[in-house]
Amino acid sequence: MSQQNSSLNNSPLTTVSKDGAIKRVNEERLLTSAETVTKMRAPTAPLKIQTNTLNIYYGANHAIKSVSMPIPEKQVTALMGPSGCGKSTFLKSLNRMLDIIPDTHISGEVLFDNKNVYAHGIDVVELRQRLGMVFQRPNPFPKSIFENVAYGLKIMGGFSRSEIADRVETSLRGAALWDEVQNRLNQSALGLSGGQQQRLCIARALAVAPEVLLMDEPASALDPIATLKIEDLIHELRQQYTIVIVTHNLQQATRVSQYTGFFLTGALIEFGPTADVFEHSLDERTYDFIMGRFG
Amino acid sequence: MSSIAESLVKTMEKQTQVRAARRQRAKITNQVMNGVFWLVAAIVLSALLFVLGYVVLNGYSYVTVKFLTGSDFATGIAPQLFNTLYITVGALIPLFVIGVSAAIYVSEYARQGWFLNILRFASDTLTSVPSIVIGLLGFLLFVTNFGNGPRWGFSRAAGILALTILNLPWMLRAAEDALRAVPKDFREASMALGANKFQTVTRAILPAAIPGLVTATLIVAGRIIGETAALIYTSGEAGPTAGWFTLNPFFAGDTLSVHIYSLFADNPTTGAYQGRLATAVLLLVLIIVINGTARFLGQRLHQRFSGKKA
Ligand SMILES: Nc1ncnc2c1ncn2[C@@H]1O[C@H](COP(=O)(O)OP(=O)(O)O)[C@@H](O)[C@H]1O
Ligand SMILES: [Mg+2]
Repeated sequence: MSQQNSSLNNSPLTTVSKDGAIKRVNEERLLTSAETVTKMRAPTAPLKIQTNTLNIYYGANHAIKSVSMPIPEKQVTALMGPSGCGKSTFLKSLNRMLDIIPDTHISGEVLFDNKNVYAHGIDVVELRQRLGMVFQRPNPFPKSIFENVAYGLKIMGGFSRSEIADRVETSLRGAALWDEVQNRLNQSALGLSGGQQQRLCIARALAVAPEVLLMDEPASALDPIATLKIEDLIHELRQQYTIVIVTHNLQQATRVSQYTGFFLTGALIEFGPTADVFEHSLDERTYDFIMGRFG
Repeated sequence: MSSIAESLVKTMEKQTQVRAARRQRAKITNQVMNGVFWLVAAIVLSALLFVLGYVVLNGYSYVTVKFLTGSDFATGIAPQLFNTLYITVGALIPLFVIGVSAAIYVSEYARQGWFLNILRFASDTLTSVPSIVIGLLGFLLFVTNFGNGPRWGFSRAAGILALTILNLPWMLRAAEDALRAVPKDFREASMALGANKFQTVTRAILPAAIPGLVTATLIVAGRIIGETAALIYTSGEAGPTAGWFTLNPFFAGDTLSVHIYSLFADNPTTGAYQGRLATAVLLLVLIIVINGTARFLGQRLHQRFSGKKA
């Protein structure tokens, strides 16, 4: 197929689909054809998470459709797709944050270190600490910077004051924020800039020693400079953490991620190494999305 | 038939006319609404100024040290000041505890359903029950043994309980608003760090709701201080003029509002104008101070907790 040979250098304006017409893609029509078949280039790295035929419903709304997706360890996996395609829903299912939304229904498995997180007897508190989450809008508590980072440890209990102080410092360093806040730990977190607040939220998640960081468009509310800092931080964090990041910014996906999954109306259309997905899409819809045809 | 170009030009001309007419109508509507708004504002403001002006101008000269510290009926107000404080604080404690707990239940735990509907219906109905009826209920329940002989007699405790019942729906509503005003983000952030619901409520939501809860409590305090009818039947029209300075809840004790009423009931047309006016001045000052504090604290705390100006 022609689009497989097209590269990113083609501007969206000069690129035409194979029948020569520039047309809007009708998502619904395309989905009914091969709805839940994923064009998969399986990762070679060991897996931290694997979902198997995961289906999620909000009431009658089928938000995630039979998604089987590998998430390799200590890599950055980007989830992209048009707004409303289920990226946040998928992300929230991984650490069971969906549980707090009423009227959700889930089938299939989410294997985390080969154990289904929806199995009986899973400790949800522990699970959520092992899979930390960073939200779209920076959401520090109206507490001091210190108290924000210490929150998770205090909830857990059993840590001494000095252990907590230690951990707060390490986490703030880990989130590249320590130098900026070390002299104002007791001031309100709400006095920080948006970018600093988001790094504080990352530090807050790091404090409980997670293995995975789930980030839902962590930079979409930030200015370009703050965005770059977050992206640099993601590069750093990849040494130790498995990262899943939702982004609707294609450049960001190419800058930060090693693997990319492309969603469309709840289905995982394509998954593979980011460079391959972007430069040699296996699916026409992925290609159209990357070329800015819809979304 | 006209050509496409002609039709297009015609339509555009028509559109220009229609738009101009619409703008004109909008302008007039706007002016009328502005006028109505200013009129209403002027009426409200002058009503307030009239009441304040009348009471304060006529009454302030009677507010003397002797009046503030004396305890004789009609010439002293010390017991009423004390009782007002006692009953207000006394009612605010159960109101805060019950109101905030119920609000937490309703906003964080309750599922939509018949129980919540009944609770809301009961609460809304209670807000429209005349306070004299609550007073009567308090009289039957706490002052007498359902009308058969005495229970506690007229007492501050009976007044406090009547005011608690009377203001519970207001406290519940205000506390619920304060809790709902806490952004959903904090809940998510807390749960995502492994907190359970109870930890989330006590450590993330309640602290963030403090500004709203303080304001809610002060607004209810203002309502309590102004309440009369519910107290006449319960804490009584007149307390003892000697030995009133006691924390014993089973003493009768009249508040400032009730005192104005008893000065009137005692001698409706002739005497005690001075006492009534002076008491009214005190009452108004108290209420203005409390409402002012509520606004001020609300804004200050809002700034502190959100990092931005209200
Ligand atoms: N809390 C919710 N309740 C009901 N439906 C929801 C909820 N959150 C998301 N949805 C629906 O699920 C679908 C996927 O939403 P979402 O996961 O937020 O998409 P994305 O993050 O890709 O924009 C949408 O149709 C959306 O309307
Ligand atoms: Mg989303």
